[in-house]
Amino acid sequence: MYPPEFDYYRPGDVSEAIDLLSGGGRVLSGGQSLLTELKARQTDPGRLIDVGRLESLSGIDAGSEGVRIGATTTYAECVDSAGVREAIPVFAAAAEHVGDPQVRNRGTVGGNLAQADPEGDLPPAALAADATVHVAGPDGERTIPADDLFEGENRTALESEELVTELVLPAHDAGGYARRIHPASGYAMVSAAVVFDVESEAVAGARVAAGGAVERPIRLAGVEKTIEGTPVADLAGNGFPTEIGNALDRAGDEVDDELPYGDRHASASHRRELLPAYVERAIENAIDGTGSAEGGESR
Amino acid sequence: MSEESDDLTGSPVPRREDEALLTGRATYTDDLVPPDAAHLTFVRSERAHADIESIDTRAAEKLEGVEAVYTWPDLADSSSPCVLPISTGSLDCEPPGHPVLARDRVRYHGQPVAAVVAEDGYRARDGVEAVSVNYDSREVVTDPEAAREEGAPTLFESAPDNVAATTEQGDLSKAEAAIEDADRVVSIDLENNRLISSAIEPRAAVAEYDAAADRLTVTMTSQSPHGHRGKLASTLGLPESAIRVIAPRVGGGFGHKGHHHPGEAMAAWAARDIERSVRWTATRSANYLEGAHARDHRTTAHLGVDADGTFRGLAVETTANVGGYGLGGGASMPGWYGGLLSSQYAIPAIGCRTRAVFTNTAPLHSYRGAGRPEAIYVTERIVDVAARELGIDRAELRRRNQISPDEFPYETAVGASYDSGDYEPALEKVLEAIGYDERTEDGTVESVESDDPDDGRLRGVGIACFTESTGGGFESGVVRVHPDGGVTVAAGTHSHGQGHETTYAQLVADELGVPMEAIDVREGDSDAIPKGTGTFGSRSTITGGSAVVESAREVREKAREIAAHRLEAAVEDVALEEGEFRVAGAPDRAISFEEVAGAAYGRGLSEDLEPGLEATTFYEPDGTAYAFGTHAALVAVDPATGDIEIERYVAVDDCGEQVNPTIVEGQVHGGVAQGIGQAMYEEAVYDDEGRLLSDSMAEYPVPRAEQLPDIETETTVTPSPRNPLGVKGIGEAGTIAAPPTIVGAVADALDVAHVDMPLTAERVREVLEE
Ligand SMILES: Cc1cc2nc3c(=O)[nH]c(=O)nc-3n(C[C@H](O)[C@H](O)[C@H](O)COP(=O)(O)OP(=O)(O)OC[C@H]3O[C@@H](n4cnc5c(N)ncnc54)[C@H](O)[C@@H]3O)c2cc1C
Repeated sequence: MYPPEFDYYRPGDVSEAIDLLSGGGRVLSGGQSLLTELKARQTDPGRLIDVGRLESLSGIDAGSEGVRIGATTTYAECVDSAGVREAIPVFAAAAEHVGDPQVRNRGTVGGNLAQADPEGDLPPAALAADATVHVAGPDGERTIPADDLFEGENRTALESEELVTELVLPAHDAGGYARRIHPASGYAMVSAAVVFDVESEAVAGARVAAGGAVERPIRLAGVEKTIEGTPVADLAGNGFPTEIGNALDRAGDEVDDELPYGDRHASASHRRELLPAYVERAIENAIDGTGSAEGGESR
Repeated sequence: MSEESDDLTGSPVPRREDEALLTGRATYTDDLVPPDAAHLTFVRSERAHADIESIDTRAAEKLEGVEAVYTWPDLADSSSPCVLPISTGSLDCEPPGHPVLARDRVRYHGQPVAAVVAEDGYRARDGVEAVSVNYDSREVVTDPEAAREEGAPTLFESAPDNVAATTEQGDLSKAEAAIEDADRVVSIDLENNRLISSAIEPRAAVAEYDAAADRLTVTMTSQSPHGHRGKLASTLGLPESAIRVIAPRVGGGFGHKGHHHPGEAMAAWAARDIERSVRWTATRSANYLEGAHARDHRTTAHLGVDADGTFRGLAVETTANVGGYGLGGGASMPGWYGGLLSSQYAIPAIGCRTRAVFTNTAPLHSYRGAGRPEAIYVTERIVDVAARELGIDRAELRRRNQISPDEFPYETAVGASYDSGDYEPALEKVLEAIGYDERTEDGTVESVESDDPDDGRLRGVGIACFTESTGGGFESGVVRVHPDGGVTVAAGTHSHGQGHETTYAQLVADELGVPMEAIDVREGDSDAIPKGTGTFGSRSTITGGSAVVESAREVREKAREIAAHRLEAAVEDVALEEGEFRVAGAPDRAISFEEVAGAAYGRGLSEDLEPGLEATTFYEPDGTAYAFGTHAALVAVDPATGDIEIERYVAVDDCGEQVNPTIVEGQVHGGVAQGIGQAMYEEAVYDDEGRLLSDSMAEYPVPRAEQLPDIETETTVTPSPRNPLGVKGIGEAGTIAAPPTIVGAVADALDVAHVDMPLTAERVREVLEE
């Protein structure tokens, strides 16, 4: 596992990083995706611009209306942050399931979103949580709502000279994440993220996202519409109201307009079939406040 | 084995090797960096079947830091054959061995085509990228059944239908006649999925050449240092005496570190060629591409059974994939796999025909179990199907057919001579542990209590009985007492997880009456240790353990004679007690073991005794020891997701006397984990063009700790009469028992006769939808 030769840069601040990027090469953050690609010689960028140690890009700032998470903040830092766990439980839950402890101690929020792996954990969570991605580039700064960020398998709205600087996530009352572990890679073979507020003891502002079964995370509008306004108590009991059950059963249909995603371990149609069960679990997790659950392994 | 409770043998002494292993202080092959070391990497074939038209190495040779680039003509010009030996004795054809670098044709994806030696791994890899190979593709066949069909591409001229060997074990026509006579015929078609050894440490070698002495030292990941010395000697055309093989710490073997692959041979050849040290460590992907892979059987079996459940005959036809080349005995191996088809049962007629077939896939060879898991899987699966068809409880059907203890030694219809066994107690123990409740009369097959039976999941229970042939071949064992009373024990086996440093020391400590701390156990050096066989096939305690015990007994006898002389007593009156030789009836006349050791090398020996205090034994057991056991599992299948949870797994094993029960338990745990891996997750897959898709751990699902259940273990003890320790092997029991146990449980949960492995969620859902 020997990467090709590259020049290594460690910029001192964001603008230096942007300058360096204009000269070509790729951003290195936690390295948990990029280094494996380099070692397998799947990519040969020639230059690596390491932003991993830029202090200004790291850290969590939890305020009343939401949380700002710096791009180079690690998953472990998100999981350990009481602010993230309380304000955006869906994100903490998703971060908790990424890889293994080593990966969680090195991999970063910005890197994960930029990587846009169809089986990544953070993209559907960021989408459900209505995150806004802050980006710096040669033409200054801009923001990209999560709804517009993910364009396809490993494809985002980011330009190659742009740098994700931080993520802003509004606080929500309830959030839940559920994922089925990929039998081989351990990534999220199927995932569902659910976020809503509780108004008059009913679901309000529901956002539901699915990952794994499609090339990019998408929102499940049908499920969102059906749970909107449902008394939380109706979701807490054993078994959902019929129309919600039906909407869940149709969750698979909602991905049909998208490019389905599958592999030989789990075909796209199998993933699509599993989706309702994981959306249901994500809702249950949102309700019972545990935030997360994982399927696909012996408990 | 003595009954005394202060014996070390039989007690759960903690493994002495673990501290170094767990704290990272142990030295593995890749840790070794000779100052003059160069680094070897291979250019591997991108094609599964092709003629090599040309290889252009010029660009690679020009790169800075690249020392040499080799292709087949370089090897052919040398005095070394550079072909890995193949045993063709039991084959119906004479295929060539595996060339270290492809000669003019490649026969599987990943076959080494060229080798680059460079200053470091980076340069070597750059060199690999700079080599360009022109191929002329041939038609590809990866499926062993398709490979036998008319018009399939041929791999070797001497095997036009790709069949390396057709072998018959037992008596097929007798078995078929017995089946015809039976009240009912039960049939099954099954696949034993293709696996890849996934030892934590990939294969590696460091070859050092001493030009002045014309001697080669190869430090490598070996389960069998003397075996590899012989194989390297053959590949390099050198006398065995010119090669020293050292196996340092080795991170797991499972078979594929007993075979001979191109890597270590190429490193050794290159070290001689450039007269500098050459290091090679396979990447995980290279290790997966090259194999050896294992299993990959397609089987059809018929069991003749009477209405009362009596087995009458078993006929089995198997097509086994052996890959693109015979690797050592790899192509012959399927020919003897049927030896365990009788499992624990008295089956009067058994016949098994096996076709070993070449395909454009990595060579196949032994992997933890090596034929035993394949055979037991066939029998245990078909017994479950028979129970289902007959409406007889699965445990009861097994019980009715088990060989009874008074029938041993028992000659099976497929030629195995079982040494000893008491099968029913292990079965009963498992049933009791898992809460199996038989109610055959009212037609309910069984019920097992589980945590929360009302959670909407489908429950199933699986039971599998098995036997396991253990401990073939001879082994060397040395016990050497130093003048200060310290002891070195050496054996030709090699421990890479088995714990010999602990078990051999326990055995010898008891024989010599010295503390374990005084004993140093050495393995893994073909120069320092007399020719041995190595560690595989659950053989080490039986063969190596017996060898060191016999040597220890010889040493003790000589020590006693020395003591008697020093104590001026008759030898018969001197006994070893609490680390001293004492004269019977005169408790104050005693001499310590250390003093005797000193005397053995000093003055004061009687005239008829030679100086020295050591013994070497080449021990060969009086026949195979057959370990056995019964495992059971309780599973819960979620119909919504296809998830399988193993709620309980109970293993009852009998490996005869146990030198160290903790190590026995560890072996069961590891084996069961790998067996569950085969049953639920693992499968090596090639695409239509013969490209290995399962070429990394992100693609080949070895189970993670969190995917494994708590494994409950119990044992029974039925000593083997075929070795002085009464032991049987335990290394492979888990990989044998777990697949039929888990598949039986899931088939029960799904209420179907059979489901093929691996039991992926998708496969489970497909079954549920049917
Ligand atoms: C064993 C293992 C298991 C894993 N399991 C999972 C899993 O279960 N779930 C999961 O989601 N992921 C998993 N991953 C991937 C891991 O989460 C990565 O950390 C993540 O995909 C990338 O984050 P990083 O910080 O490591 O980015 P890097 O690897 O450094 O970069 C990834 C990509 O993002 C770009 N990039 C990085 N930072 C920025 C930025 N600030 N702005 C713009 N572009 C940027 C890089 O140029 C590169 O293209 C696993 C990885 C490993 C090695």
